[in-house]
Amino acid sequence: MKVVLQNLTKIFPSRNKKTPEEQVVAVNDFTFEIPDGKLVGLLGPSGCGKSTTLYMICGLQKPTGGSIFFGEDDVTHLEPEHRGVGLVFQNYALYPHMTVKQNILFPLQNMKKELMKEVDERREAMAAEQLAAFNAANGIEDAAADAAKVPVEVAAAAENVAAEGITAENAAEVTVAKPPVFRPKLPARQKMLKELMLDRAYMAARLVQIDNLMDRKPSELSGGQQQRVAIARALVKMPRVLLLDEPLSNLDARLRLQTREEIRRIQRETGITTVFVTHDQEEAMSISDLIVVMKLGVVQQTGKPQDIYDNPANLFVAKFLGTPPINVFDGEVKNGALYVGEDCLMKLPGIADQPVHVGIRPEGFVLDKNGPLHMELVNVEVMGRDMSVISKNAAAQTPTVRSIIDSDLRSEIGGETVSFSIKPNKIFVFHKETEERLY
Amino acid sequence: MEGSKHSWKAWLYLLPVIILTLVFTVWPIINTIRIAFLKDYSMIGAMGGKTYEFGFANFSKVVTYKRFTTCLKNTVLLCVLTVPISTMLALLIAVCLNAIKPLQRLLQTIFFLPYVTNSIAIGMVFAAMFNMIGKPSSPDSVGIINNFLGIFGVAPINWINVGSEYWANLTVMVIYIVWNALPFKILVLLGGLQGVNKQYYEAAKVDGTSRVRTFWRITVPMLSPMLAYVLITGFIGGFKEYSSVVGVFGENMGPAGQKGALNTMVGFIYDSLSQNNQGRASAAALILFGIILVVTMINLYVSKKKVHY
Repeated sequence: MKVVLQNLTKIFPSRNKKTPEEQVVAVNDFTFEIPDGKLVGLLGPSGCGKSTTLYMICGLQKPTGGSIFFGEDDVTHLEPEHRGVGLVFQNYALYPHMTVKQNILFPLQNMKKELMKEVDERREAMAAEQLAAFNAANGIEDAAADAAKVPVEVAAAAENVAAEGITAENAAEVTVAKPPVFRPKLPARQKMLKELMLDRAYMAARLVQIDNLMDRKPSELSGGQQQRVAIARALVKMPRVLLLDEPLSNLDARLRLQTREEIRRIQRETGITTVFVTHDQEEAMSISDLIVVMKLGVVQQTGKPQDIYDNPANLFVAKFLGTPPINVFDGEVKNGALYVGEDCLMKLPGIADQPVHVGIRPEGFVLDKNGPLHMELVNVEVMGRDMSVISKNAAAQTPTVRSIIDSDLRSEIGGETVSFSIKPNKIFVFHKETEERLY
Repeated sequence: MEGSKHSWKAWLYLLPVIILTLVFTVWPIINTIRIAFLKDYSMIGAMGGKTYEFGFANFSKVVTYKRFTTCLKNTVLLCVLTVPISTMLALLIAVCLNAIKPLQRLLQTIFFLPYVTNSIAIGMVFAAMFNMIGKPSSPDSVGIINNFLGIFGVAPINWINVGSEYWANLTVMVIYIVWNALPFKILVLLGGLQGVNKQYYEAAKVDGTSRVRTFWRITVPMLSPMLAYVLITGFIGGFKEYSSVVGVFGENMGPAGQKGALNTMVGFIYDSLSQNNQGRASAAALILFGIILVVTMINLYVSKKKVHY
């Protein structure tokens, strides 16, 4: 199911009527299309409106303006229960008084009517099968014609039982007097409904691998298990869209790694369009098909994780993505060349002379004795595969600059200064005021 | 342990309370049990040095009194009727109060007013409201309830006056006790409701849960500790019902001419005491204690299975 957000806006009015200008624009003119079956991460610092966006997609919050489409359906004014969404809350919101099984069954019990239709379809199919077998056994020729009349036959069969009132005495008489009557043998509707719901619940539980915990209470589960139960509860009703609010924030670091892979796997297996909210860029980058970076209610950039990382639209996005974070310097464009302090880093034709922000990814530094960028060496942190060279530069906006270098080059570092050349695809230049990307 | 060296200090601080409890709570309980088993005990006789035979005479006497069975019936009826009704009403009001924002504080205060009002005074007001007999000189003294029912063409009902029927008396008592019991229950349940995480309701909403189902499957279980508390204290209070009857019917404990028709267990104990029959009073008190104990145990047993903490 494709999800389309059109000019979505959410304004929380000011609490004080006298100062309406204090209203909070939580989401401002958000337009985005989430393709069918993709996993999309809404990423941004706290207060950027990502959760509000999620809740608007869910329906728990009503947008101030704009509209939301699920496929071709306009769901903007639909109540959440009619949207067919599954929501996983940040703290899971599992009903503490119910077992895992009851928790997962809960949404199903709300849709008994729809499920009953499925039960009836199954019953009809079963009846048709039995009728075919019956006809074959009794040598009735026009089985195909009869099979088409199955629903009528089923009803008629039920009437026959009541009307005939077969007893031990007249049983022989009845069978002699009439040709054999077809009576489908079907389990009770309620029983089938129950079984169907249990099947669905166990299917969802197996998908998230908690089918061995079904009789526990949520309080008897670990955080990761609770998380899975919450996902199972959201999935069991087969939602059109799955929404996850900070799904990993309550887990410890190891579980987080594991669970995010799980979420990815579950999403791939089910193919349900999924939107999740996170403030952790690593999380978003690692599992999303697409990410949306937000700041103060305004979308900064949307796209594939790698594209956004490689081509940040502005300084905020560049700073927000990547660990360790990008290093930012005060720089200047002079006569078509980029300067950081006294060092001329590269030629930069076509950009007017102006002061700029210069961002260099940690992996963009290359040790080079003749390199243009000169830094004061502070420390070297060895991390095995590679090492962090921590250095200082008067033009840097942070006290220290962190660069990541292959650890084989350990011996090349020494003395009080270190020089780098810069990989051209790892350096970005931003406008001093607007912070928009210039290069 | 280090603290045990100084534990005499702790005992010293506790001493006043311990002494007071021993003298005014523990000893009276022991004495009540003792007196209950002494035949024909009277305090005056005991002070004169008389000794009494040990036995169950008091109990067998009390149980065979017709007055006692009336009191027991009244008490149980009032309990069984008022506790469920008041709890359900309180739950309803608490849920409604919790759902509204404006005026919530004000309404909360209004609902709490009966709690801080003297029950005898309220009883007298109820008696006036349910009054039927108007003096020829001032027909206005017919109670507001009968006047109100008159609007719908209902003939005045004799609620509490001379010759009134038992069901009418009981109805008035039930209304009065329910009304009087509401504030505390609303307060406790509202407090419980405000502690329920809103996300459970949001989760239920996203799953398309109907309001009725949300109430029974989420609100009630979430409130179950408070409900259990309210029910247990409600039953204990119900079995001790006394002042409400005094408030409405006066010391007569029944409409004029039917003395004691609405008397309760506690009323029976008071009567026995005022007739200087401490043995009978003690035996009745022990029976009441036994009933409350059993009911509370049943309550606790049920709540262990049903209450989610």
